[in-house]
Amino acid sequence: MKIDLLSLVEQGGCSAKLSASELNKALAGLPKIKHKNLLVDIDTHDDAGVYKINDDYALVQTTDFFPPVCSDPYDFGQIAAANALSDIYAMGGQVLTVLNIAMFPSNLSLSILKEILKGGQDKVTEAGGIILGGHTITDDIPKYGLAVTGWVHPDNVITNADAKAGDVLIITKPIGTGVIISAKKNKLVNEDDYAAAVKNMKHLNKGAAEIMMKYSVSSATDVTGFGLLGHTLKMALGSDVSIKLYSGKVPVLKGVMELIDLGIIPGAAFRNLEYAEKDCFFDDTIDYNRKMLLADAQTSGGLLISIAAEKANSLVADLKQAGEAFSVIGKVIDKAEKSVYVE
Amino acid sequence: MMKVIDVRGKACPLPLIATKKALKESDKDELIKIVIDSETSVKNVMRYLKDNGIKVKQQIAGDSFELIFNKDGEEPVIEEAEAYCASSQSDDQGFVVVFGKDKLGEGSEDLGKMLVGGMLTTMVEEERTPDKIIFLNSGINLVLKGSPVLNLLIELESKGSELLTCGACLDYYDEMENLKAGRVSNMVEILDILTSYSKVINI
Repeated sequence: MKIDLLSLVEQGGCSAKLSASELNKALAGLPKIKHKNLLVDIDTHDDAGVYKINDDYALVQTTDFFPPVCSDPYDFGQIAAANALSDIYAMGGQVLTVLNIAMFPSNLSLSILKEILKGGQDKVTEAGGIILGGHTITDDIPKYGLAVTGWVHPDNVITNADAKAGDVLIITKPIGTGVIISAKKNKLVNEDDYAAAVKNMKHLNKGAAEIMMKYSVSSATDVTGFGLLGHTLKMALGSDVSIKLYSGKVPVLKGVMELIDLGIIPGAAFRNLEYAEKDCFFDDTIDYNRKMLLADAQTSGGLLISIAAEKANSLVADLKQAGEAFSVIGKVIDKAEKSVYVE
Repeated sequence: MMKVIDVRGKACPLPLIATKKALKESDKDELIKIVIDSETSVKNVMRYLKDNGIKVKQQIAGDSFELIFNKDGEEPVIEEAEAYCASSQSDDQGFVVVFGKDKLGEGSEDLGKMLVGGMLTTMVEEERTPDKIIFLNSGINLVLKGSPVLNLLIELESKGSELLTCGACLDYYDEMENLKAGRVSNMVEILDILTSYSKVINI
C-alpha cells in the first residue's frame, strides 16, 4: 500500500513544535531541580540534559518526535531518528540506547508503521545504538521519534553556552528543510530538490560530530525547530556574547530561495522571527527572503559549531576530507547591544 | 477595479503564496483584496506585507478577514468598502486598551493597583476581549517579571488579545530583558493602531 504521509498531516498546522515563548509560559513557575550531578539542565535550552554518573561517565538524554515531514514512511522513520539522535551528537556524546515513541491511527495499515519503525531502526544501527523497546499509542495523525540515551566524558560535554569572542561559526548542513516540506505538502516542489532535502535530513550528524570531538570546540548545537536564527540567538544568549551571522554565506538547499520567493514561508518561520527579532539586528542590505530563510524551522539540521579561529581551518579541512558539508557562516564577538547581527 | 482572491479554507502558507502572486501580477495601482478565514494566516500575511512596506487596510466581513492593499504600497482608499464597513459592521469592531500607567484611577496607590487586577480579571471573563492591549510609560510594569497581573495578561493573550509594549519605554526604564508577555512594539505601530480603531480605552 502506497501512502503519502504528508496527506495525513493536519492542514494549517505549519509546524508541530510549541513556540519557545509559549513553552516558557508553560514552564514558568515549575520548580527547578538542582542536583550536583546535573551538568546541563533546561536553563540554557540546550539540546540534551547531562547527568554525571562518575568522573568518567555522564549520561546524555534527549527525546524528540513529530508528525510526518515527508511522504514516504521509511524516509520518515529515518529522518525522525536522525533528528532525535542529533541532540546526543550536539552535546559531544555517543549513542547508547534508544526507545521508540510512536503514535499511529488505528485505521491505517500496520505495514506503514512497520516501515516507519524500520527506518528508525536502520538509523539507530548506523549510529551504533541499540533499540531497547518503545511505546505506541493510537492517534489520528502518525507521529514518531525517539528517546535517546548516550554518554559523554564529563570533561568533554559540549554545551550551546560556551561560545567565545573571536570564535568562528561553522554549520555542517544546508538549511531550508521547513520550506521544502511545506512546498511538498502543497505539491509545489520539484522531485529532485525534494529528494535532496530528504537525503539531507536523513544524514546523521555522527560523522561531523566525531570530527568536532577531535578539536576542543567552544560550543555546539544542532539547528532544528527554532531555525538558524533562533539557535544562533540561543547560543549567543547562553554564552553571553554576540554573534555576527554572514547571511550570504549560509548554505541553502537547492530550490529553497525560489520557493520562498513564491511565498512558501511556513508559519513556524514567522513564529521564529517573532521570537528572535528583538535581540537581532538585520543589516539594511538583507533581502527579505533571506531573512525568512534564516528563521525557517529545520528538521534534522546540521551542527552549528563555535571554534577558536586558529583551529577552524583544520576542522574545516577534516570535514571536507570526510565528505561532510560545511560552511563558515559567522563570527563570535564581544557582547554588544544586540545578540545577533545579521549582515 | 479590484482583484479579489479568496483563500478561505486554504492552509498556511497558501494564502501567502496567493498574496505574492497577486502582487506580482497586478498593475501598480490595482487594488487587491485577499479574503482569509484563518487568523494565523492573516497575521503572517499582514506581517509579510508590512515588512515589505505595503500598507494594508484590514476589515472583518462575517467570519472572514479582508486585507486590501495595492502594489505601490500606499494605503488604499476604498470609499465604497469603507461606507459598507461603517454602516453594517460597526457593532463588530474590536477595541483597544491602553495602559499608560500601572494603576487605575487617582488616589491610593495600593487601591489603584488592586483595581487593575480586578479589571483584568473581569476582562478575562468577558466574551469580548480587547483586540490589542498597549503598555506605555509606567504601564509597562504590568508586563514585566514579577507583575502580579502577568498571569491574567497571558490568559488574555491566549484568548486572542495582542499585548504590545512600547520599546522606548522598556529602554528608558532598562527593563527590556524583563518583558514577560507579548512583544515589543514601537510608536509607529502604536499610533497606527490608535488611529485605525474607533474604540480606544485609555487607562
